Amino acid sequence: MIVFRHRKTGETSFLSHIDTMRVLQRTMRRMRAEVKYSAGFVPHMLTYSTTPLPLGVQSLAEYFVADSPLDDEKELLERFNDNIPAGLKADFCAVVPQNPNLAAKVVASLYEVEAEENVSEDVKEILGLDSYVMKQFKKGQMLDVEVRNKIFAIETEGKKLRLTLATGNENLRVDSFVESLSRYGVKACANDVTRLEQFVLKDGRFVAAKEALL
Amino acid sequence: MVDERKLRQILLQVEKPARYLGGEFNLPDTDKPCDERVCLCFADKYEVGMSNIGLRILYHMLNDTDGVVCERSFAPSVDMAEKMRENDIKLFSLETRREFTDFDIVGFSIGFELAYTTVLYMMDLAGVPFYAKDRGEDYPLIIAGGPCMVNPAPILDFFDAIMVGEGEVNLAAFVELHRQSKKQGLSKKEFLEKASKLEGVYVPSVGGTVKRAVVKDLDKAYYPTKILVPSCDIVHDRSTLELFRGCANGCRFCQACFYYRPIREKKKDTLLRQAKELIINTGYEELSLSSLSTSDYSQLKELVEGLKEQAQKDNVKLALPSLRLDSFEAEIYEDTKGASLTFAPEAGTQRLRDVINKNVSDANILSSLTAALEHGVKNVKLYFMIGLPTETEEDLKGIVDIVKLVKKLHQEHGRSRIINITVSTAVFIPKPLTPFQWEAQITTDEMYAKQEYLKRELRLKNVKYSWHDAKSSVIEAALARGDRRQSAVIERAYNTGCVFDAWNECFDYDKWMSAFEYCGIDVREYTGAIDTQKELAWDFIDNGVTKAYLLKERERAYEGKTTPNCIGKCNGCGANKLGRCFS
Repeated sequence: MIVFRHRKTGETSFLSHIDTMRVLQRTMRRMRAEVKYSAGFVPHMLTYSTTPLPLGVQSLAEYFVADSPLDDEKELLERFNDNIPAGLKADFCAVVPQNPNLAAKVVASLYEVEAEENVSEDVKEILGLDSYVMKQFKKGQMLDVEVRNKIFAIETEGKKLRLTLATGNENLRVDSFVESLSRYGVKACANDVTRLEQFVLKDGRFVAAKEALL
Repeated sequence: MVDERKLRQILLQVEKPARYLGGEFNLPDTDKPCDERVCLCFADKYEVGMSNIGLRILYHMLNDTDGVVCERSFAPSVDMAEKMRENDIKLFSLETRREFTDFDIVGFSIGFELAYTTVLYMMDLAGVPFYAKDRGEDYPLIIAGGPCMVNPAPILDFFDAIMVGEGEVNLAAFVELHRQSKKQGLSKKEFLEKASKLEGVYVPSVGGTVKRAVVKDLDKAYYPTKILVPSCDIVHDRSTLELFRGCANGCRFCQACFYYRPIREKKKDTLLRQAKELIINTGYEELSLSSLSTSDYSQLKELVEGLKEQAQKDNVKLALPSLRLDSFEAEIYEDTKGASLTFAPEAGTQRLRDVINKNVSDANILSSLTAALEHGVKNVKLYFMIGLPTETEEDLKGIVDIVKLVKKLHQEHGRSRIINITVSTAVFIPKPLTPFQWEAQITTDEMYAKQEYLKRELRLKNVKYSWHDAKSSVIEAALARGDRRQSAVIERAYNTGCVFDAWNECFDYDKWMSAFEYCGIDVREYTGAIDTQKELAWDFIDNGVTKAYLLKERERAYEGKTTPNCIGKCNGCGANKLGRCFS
């Protein structure tokens, strides 16, 4: 089983999750990764990923897992990068004994937002609130949703805003959250957001998924 | 260049933003040093344009030429166009986001008459005047090519030059000549005068006649195997092997058959090599074969065997197009798990099939269907045309009889438990460069009556009937045999809101009819019968196949005489003078 940590930047940030998976699977074929197929009537490639990014959001830390018998990490990383569009190149590859099931294990992500103007420190007051309600499009309608328990950290530095938000089963959509920050004067769109890392929970602490794999 | 930040903001508000960004795998180096920049445009959406094999060949061919960079631009959807206008963003190329005015040459590939208004839509979004006469030295050369150039008369005024024939020959020469002319400091007018002497290049402002350019040796012709692999879903999302150009069958309604002659094949070993490279370079899960009649490829059996071996090794699905089934081909279907058979008898009776020279007999249909059903085929798609010259009620009834025959054969021979039959009818459109180019198209009332009859009679279990829109067939027919007066009609149609006419949901017949009326032109002038003595709007193009041959074929049609396939013996259509058939 091989795990890649790849980016999703530039043009590729506008690819839907399904399209991204197709690109990655074709990369596996081009790099001759010998990925196994399911044994059903319509066999499909055995690959896995983490929680999809909202359209337009960029990332430096997407994880992609493929059921392959190959084990030379350095060579696999090279072959991966030779066979993928520029916006999806990887910076890390690990061979693991079994599917790490990151989709279920990832609980939070660190995002960086590059706003149009300096971000007010006031935005950090959210952390002191008991409740934070924002609009979210759910099941075909716009609803008011309580999300305070999904916001873990907020930091600001000039035009930059760093957010640690819930990811995975209890997910907080970063694009909707950033949009809600307009009430604090934050001017940014989904494409100004970059996911820097995804975390799993280990001994009560957030640990980068990459570290957890090693 | 487009403001990237502004662009990305609007992309978040439109459907399928990946269409507008490029960045695909196998992207050529568009930052290399160059002295000629070309933008190839396709007058439809990305998903359709990226599936076009001609555009793919020319794009890579130009990018593989030293000093030339070729980029792409497709028609943005209406939602994107609206946002572009709101934000003052002009139509741009996918690769470097350049506007039309940053290119030396902008070339449109036009494969369908109903794309004409979309060409104007793209020019409008790019901020360039529609008419060539209104574009001075500040604008790029705007040219057109593709199958519609069999009769470019309705769109001649919009373009500086028309590429008649195969782009590997004329576009390559045109681009090279322009590079040299730029160095010599020639004006647009001076360059176009020189260009008008190139093989397969017609310059409307110069006039005269033009002979279609063809690739003499297809086996050695440029064919890209390191092709772009789109990141988002497109219509034909697979590798394609082009087996041959032209068709030996000579169906009398078929423009492609005559237009792509002379018939030129690629060698089996060339194709196997290209297939191997395509599989390795693209990672596609599927490989398809492209030609007008794949079953006529001389080494089909050996080729399919070789491809099957390669496909199995690399876990690639081999997609075979509709074949005329005999026992050997049925085996292929079984092997490739092909549970579907596509069959195009085109007409319901033997008499009418003889008229249109569809050399498929009742016995062929019976044996092919039996073989297919015995091999487990459970989906049968049948294609027919209505409104063919000399068609009678008996011929329509014949369509119903064939459908009932399939059901009966399935009961007697079918290996699958169920059978799904899909029947589609298109409306006959008289097209230039066919023996039926002088024929009348039936009226919309007649079209509706025939479709109603079939809807009623094909209300059978497991049979689905679909039909082509009658009204768009009328406009397509009018434009296909149109003349130079129609550029005003096309402009008027676009200005009143016609765009993406090839998409049923966008096509607006009333607007088109109003445009014809506004310009004082009667559509029936173009859809009615044409006197065989009359000069035709496309007579200035020598497409190889002679008018005398087409007339002779027309006479044979009315006599109900068929003309055999020309694989064994040349029928003397005239295409040989452009390049040797079966060379």
